[in-house]
Amino acid sequence: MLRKNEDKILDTAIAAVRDESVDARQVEAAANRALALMREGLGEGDLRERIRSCADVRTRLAAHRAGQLSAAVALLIDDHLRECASCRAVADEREDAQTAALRWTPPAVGRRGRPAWQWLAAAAAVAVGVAVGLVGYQAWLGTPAGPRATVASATGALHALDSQGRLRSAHAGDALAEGESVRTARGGGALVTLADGSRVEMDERAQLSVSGRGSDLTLRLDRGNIIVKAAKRSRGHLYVATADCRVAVTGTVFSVSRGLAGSRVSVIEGEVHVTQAGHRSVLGPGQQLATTPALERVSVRDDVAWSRERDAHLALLAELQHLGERLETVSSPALRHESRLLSLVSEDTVVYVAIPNLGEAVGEGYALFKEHVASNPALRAWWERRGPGKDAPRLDDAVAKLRAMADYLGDEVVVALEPDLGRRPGGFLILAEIKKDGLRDLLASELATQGPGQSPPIRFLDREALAAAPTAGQALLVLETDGILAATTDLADLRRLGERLVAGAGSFVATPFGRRVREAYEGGAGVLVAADLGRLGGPAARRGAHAALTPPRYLVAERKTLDGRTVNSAVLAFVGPRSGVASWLAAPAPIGSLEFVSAQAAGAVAFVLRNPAALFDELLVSLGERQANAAEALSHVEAELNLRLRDDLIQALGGELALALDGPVLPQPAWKVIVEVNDPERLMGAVTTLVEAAGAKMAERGKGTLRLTEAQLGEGREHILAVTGGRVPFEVHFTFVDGYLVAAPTRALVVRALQTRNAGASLAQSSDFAALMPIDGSMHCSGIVYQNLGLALGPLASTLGESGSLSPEAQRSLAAIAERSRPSLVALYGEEDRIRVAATGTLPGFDPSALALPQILGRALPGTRTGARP
Amino acid sequence: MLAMPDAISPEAGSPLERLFHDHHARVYRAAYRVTGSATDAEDVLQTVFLRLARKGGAAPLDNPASYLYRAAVNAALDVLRRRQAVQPLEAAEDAPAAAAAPELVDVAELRGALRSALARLSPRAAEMFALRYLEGHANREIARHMRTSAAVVAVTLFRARRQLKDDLRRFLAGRR
Repeated sequence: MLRKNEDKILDTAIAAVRDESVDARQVEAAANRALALMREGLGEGDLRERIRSCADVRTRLAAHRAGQLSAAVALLIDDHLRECASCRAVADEREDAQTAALRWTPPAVGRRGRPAWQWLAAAAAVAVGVAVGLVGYQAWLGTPAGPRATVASATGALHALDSQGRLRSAHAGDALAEGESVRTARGGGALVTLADGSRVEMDERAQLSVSGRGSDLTLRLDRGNIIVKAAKRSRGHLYVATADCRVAVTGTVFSVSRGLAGSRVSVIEGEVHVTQAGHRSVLGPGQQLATTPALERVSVRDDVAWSRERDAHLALLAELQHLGERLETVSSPALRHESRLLSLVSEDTVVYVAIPNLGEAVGEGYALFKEHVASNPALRAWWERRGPGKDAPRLDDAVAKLRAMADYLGDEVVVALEPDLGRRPGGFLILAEIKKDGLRDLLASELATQGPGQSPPIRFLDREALAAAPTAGQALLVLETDGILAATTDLADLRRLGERLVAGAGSFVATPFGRRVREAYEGGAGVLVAADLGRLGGPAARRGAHAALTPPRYLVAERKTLDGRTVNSAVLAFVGPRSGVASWLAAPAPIGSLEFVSAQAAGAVAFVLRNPAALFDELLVSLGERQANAAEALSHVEAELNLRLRDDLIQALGGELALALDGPVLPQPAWKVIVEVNDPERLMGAVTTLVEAAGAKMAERGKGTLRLTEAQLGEGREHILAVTGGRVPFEVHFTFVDGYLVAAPTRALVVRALQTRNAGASLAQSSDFAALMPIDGSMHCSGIVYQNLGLALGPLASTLGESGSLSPEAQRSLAAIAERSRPSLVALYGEEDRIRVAATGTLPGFDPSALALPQILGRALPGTRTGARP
Repeated sequence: MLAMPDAISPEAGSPLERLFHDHHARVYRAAYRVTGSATDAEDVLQTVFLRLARKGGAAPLDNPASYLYRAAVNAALDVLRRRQAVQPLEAAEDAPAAAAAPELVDVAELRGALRSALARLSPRAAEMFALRYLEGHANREIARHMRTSAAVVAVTLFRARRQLKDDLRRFLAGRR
């Protein structure tokens, strides 16, 4: 009865809204105004000429923020920013930079219109009361009131971490409470004024906190470099403490560095007292104390215990990672938009590789590396004893030579391969432009120093010698003519190149493959690898005769630096529409399943697939073509299971699939799986049938029991699939919500997934994630592979440390790696006749820390492999 | 004030203007139904067509009418939600008391209550609800435009109705 009444109220309300009449004149008046605005803003409807791409939007961001755009254009920009994650990232970045700059202006003193004396009187009364009452206590043991320090200025991002571990962003003028940590970002810095007037300059990636007892102040440096200018004081001390030493000072200037290797105290002015391991020393100006003897002996102790080695290894790894970050700042060569070499390769070319002339960058990077090695004991020890450091003089020489040679060459080197490579001499061509004369002499003198037999024989040719030269021989032939340097082992190849040089251009650019390569240049080329897969003639191409498994025809992979971000991208192009497995990837679309994955996820994979039932049908057809009894086998299985796979199971599924590691790794990996489901009831029916069949089979073989149970979960139902009594007990909890199945190993994780979605705090909505999206104007993608392992590593390190599986050194190193590791994202785009892949951030495969991790964890976690797998 | 533009005529200029001619009234009315305000409906009308202009002016799809409908409903719901954030429900309720029976409640108030409740639904549910009950689209049609299944639409609508009923009941109870 009550319910019926409620329905009636709702329906009445709906009708009231729906049937509300609108005056037609009112509509037309509004329409006229809207049209006028459109014409004004658009310049007679051609705004699309002006704002059509992301680039158009970005050039207007500054004017937009300054409020200089017309209402219509501003609306369009706002609109675009709402839709386009990559532009939003750019806009936010600029906003940050701008507001950071604004923060430098000194804060206004006092407020107008307030009766200041009232405040003053109240403050004085309180101050006197407090002072009189507590002075005795305060002087010795009390925790003084008020902030411990104030951020005077900051460059780059600054974060404050309170004693409960909550992170907030901090700005100039912010006060730091007792025990609150402040942390500078990479490339940033800050100036902090302590309560006693001492000034502390923080270098990048430094973290410190300040606490007070009585009239003493203790600055705790967790990591990084600081320079302290201690104020003169009549009572009490300023202490600077690191994990392994304590410095007591008054009125001095000194620096403290805290790194993985230990701590170092250097005195610039005055005198400090350093206590380390119960030993006290006094340092004067220019004197230094390091707490690093353990580290310097590490290489001696190599053989003592492998765990020792592991610790050292980890410390080194963290350092190398830091070095990698520094190397990223080396300016990479400019992108190339056209290439003379492209027109000179043979039209039979099937693999085309273009590498920018990195001579200068290599030289610069090497210098940076040497500098880093010289200043870091951990790296130096490695470099000198185990790394290529033994050959350092030769390496120096090699780098110098490479640099010298690079000066002679144009901005790229091209390697072109032909399909008959390896079956005859030649089949490859190395090409470069020559910028200045004398390369031949340099090469000749270089070869002379090598002595005979050290390297393959090389014959230099010019245009005349090319015609006359005998064809036989194993030598590498180097042709230098018309500003081009070319090398191969087959004279005929070189002669054909000579013909193309005379003609001015070859026909490669006119071939379909050549056109693809040229397109890549037009978009700006960094490192470029292109392959004509169809003509490479491998087994894949032969299998291509099969209609359903047509392999992609072309691969174009690139690595380039755009706007300071390194982007790795690849395109797999097909002849005609995508088919076979490659066609499973749907066109780019919003991936709703990602809304269940939190922004703190350590990794996630998500895809949008085409209609699963259609895919299943295609697969059946293609299987049927190859195996006559495929359909029969299927119906046999279906009869046994009493289930129609297509109609009962696959038809119930939607096209989205997501898998994530979202939470702690121990004691049980917090995985979750989200699947789009069109028909939950049908799917549950199929699952029930399958569970019964599988349960019966397990019971038969004595491998435990499989059970499916239900429980109430909010407004919905929670289903629990559990295996008990088997060798590996496990549970899967899942529920259906808004067309998705959400599964995880525990109920709590399922609930958290739902909360993440309701709160709008998901990975897809986080700005960090948006910043990782490739900048190419695409709003959606067909699939993503995301990692942010650092988030899982930190907690893992401390858990393992507490349980004793990891030594404190290893734990600290692991924590440092976690801190430095960066998230990365690979995005896939399924387009009509191609699949595009773009990667940003640090690629797991190229990241030394990611490579080493499984090894370290494998050692630290015996039994993980069997115990914790879902 | 600007000179009034030429009367809106189907011959006028660009494809965008033709589209405007054909659909502006529907867009305005859909926006009015959701927002209940002439000013807001006009804002929505402008937003929708300027947005379309940015996308190239021509109809973005094979079916411009349904695109415009959805765009209008969503832009209007945005307005509604922004309004909600500025003006909490309680602040607006100082009308004289009335009985809970629907026939005795002022129609204007009931409209206001439904709109506030709509703004509290999830964006997706609100859109589905508006398309289904205010614009009279079929579930199947909504499912196609929103790239989901009719079953999902039905379930979402059922939950949306339940939440709206709860909200309305609370609203009426608060007025008693």
